[in-house]
Amino acid sequence: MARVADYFVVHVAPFDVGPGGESPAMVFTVHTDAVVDRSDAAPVLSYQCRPLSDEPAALRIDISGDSIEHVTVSVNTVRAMWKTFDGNLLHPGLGADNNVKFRNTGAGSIRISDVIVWYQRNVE
Amino acid sequence: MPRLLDYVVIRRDPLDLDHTGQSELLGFHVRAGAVTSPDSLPALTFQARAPSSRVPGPSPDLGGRVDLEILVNGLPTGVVRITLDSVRGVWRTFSEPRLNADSSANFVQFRSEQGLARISDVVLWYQRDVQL
Repeated sequence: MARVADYFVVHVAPFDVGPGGESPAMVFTVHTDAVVDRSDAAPVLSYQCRPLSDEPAALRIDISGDSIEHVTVSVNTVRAMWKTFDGNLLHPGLGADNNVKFRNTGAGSIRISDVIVWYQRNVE
Repeated sequence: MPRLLDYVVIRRDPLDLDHTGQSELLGFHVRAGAVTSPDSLPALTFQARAPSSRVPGPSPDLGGRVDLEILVNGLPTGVVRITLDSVRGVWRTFSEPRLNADSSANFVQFRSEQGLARISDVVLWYQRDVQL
């Protein structure tokens, strides 16, 4: 058995989240053999974001309803972001739904794109 | 033997470099078969932001320039200069030093040459030859 990295592209196209707004819950799946119990093999959520105004955006990110990030983003330039999170938040299995949702509790709008979940698997 | 992507999460929680000259050393292991040939260099990624007061809630977006020296296994990989006017994602590839792919530990060290920073979500991406 080998442990390998894998990923799921959750969302490609840019979408905007205004003040007080939230994204739809974007569904993704991970394979049944996903590693969920090792801190050194924790999953990683990566995304691009760009504030759209002078006011900062305050992003909260949920994975299947559990908060994994609360970060303030300002300055109108694109940036690459990633957040490691607890593998136990994943529901392995191609028939099991996981989802990621972005909420903006700040005063400014933000544009998000290229949302990817990276994780590890034990492959026979 | 296929060569596949792998990664190791070195640290999830934030660590603060509160003053110039402060450094933090983080240990990690890569698995057997890790390769560091010129077309398969490892990449170290992390998030950097200005350190906050230790109150709950979003990290403040204040801060200035910080020069971060990054060492791997005691050898410098260079200095990253960033302006922490907002949270930043940073990655750095390096050809030297080589990673220890046996059972011995590897170490990454962040040292502030100037300024203050909060580092989190430190991940090393690498490739390895896997026997399937």
